[in-house]
Amino acid sequence: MPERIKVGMASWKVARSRDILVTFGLGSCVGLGLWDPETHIAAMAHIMLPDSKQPRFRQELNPAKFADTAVKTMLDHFLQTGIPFSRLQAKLVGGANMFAFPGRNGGTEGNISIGQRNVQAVKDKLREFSIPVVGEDTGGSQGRSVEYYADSGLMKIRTALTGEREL
Amino acid sequence: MTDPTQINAFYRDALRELGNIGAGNAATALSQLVGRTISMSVPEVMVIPIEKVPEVVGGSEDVAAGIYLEVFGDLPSKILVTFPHRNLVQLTDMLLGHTLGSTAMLSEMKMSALKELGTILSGAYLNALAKFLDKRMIPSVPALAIDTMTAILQTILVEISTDTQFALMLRTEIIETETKISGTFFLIPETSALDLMVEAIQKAAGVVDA
Repeated sequence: MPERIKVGMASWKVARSRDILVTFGLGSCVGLGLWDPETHIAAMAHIMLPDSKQPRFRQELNPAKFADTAVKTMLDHFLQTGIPFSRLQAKLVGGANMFAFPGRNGGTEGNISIGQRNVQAVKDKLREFSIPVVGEDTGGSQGRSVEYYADSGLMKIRTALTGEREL
Repeated sequence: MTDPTQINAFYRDALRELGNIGAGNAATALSQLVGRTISMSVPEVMVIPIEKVPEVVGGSEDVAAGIYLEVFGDLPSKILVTFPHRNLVQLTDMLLGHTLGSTAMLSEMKMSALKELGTILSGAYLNALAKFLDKRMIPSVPALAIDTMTAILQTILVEISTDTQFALMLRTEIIETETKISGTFFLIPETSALDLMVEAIQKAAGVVDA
């Protein structure tokens, strides 16, 4: 029986063979999936914030909460499992701007939404390790739920009002 | 700075009383607006690690309308008001003075009515609080999202998680007694507001620091 493994907010999990990683309600949060096509091992993180290096986060012990530390931690795990970075494929979901205030967070000028910043931070970190983003469904104003299949690397993305799509 | 986890029983009760004062006024305002009897639950004071909030507060795949406001002034806070999606048509019929069930769709007009409802409830809630605490609290314009309860909660949590690892939330249910349509009102003070709130409660309650 394939197992459904729930990835809660600010956490990350690994799945293999026919297991499915699931995460719910990505609003401005970003779901990052990393997949190795040879071993069919997948990992997914539910990231809340772009940067762990701000002073007030010094004592945070939760690496999956931040884009920079989440990517690093997941890559370390793959490396320990004997999987080189060069085989990994990334998929990105989320980073929406659900509550658009007039004149703020609208992305018009200067004020970039936290969702956009999360997406950018994850991409920057992936680029550092030359990991290709092979699929992306980010931005917009709707929350997303994700199923990530370890055997195929397929992502199924569901929104509350506009249905399902595959990545 | 007051650590939300260090809030003792006295302040918990005091915060609950603040919730009572605020939500009581909000319920009265709504009652006058729609000409119906509105009741409310006893407010809950919740202190939860941010990551656990969706589980504890009942984040689900159920679709809801979330009306979100920021509060400026002496006690910076966030407000979230949610209504289940299945009630939205009836609720907005009520607000716009239509016969209940006479319309089927959530028109642009009805979306505006929902935002306006958020403004009215928040205004009434904050007025009562500000008066009691002798502080200024000014709500922003409302923003509306119709999405899953989980996505709505998580988005608000991200907004506060830049500031704290624990969320302190004051939750009150507001219920229309005949149709049983109910909404949930959350006041989420920022960490800096919590200090001042505790201080203001002490002052209002006549407690002197030893």
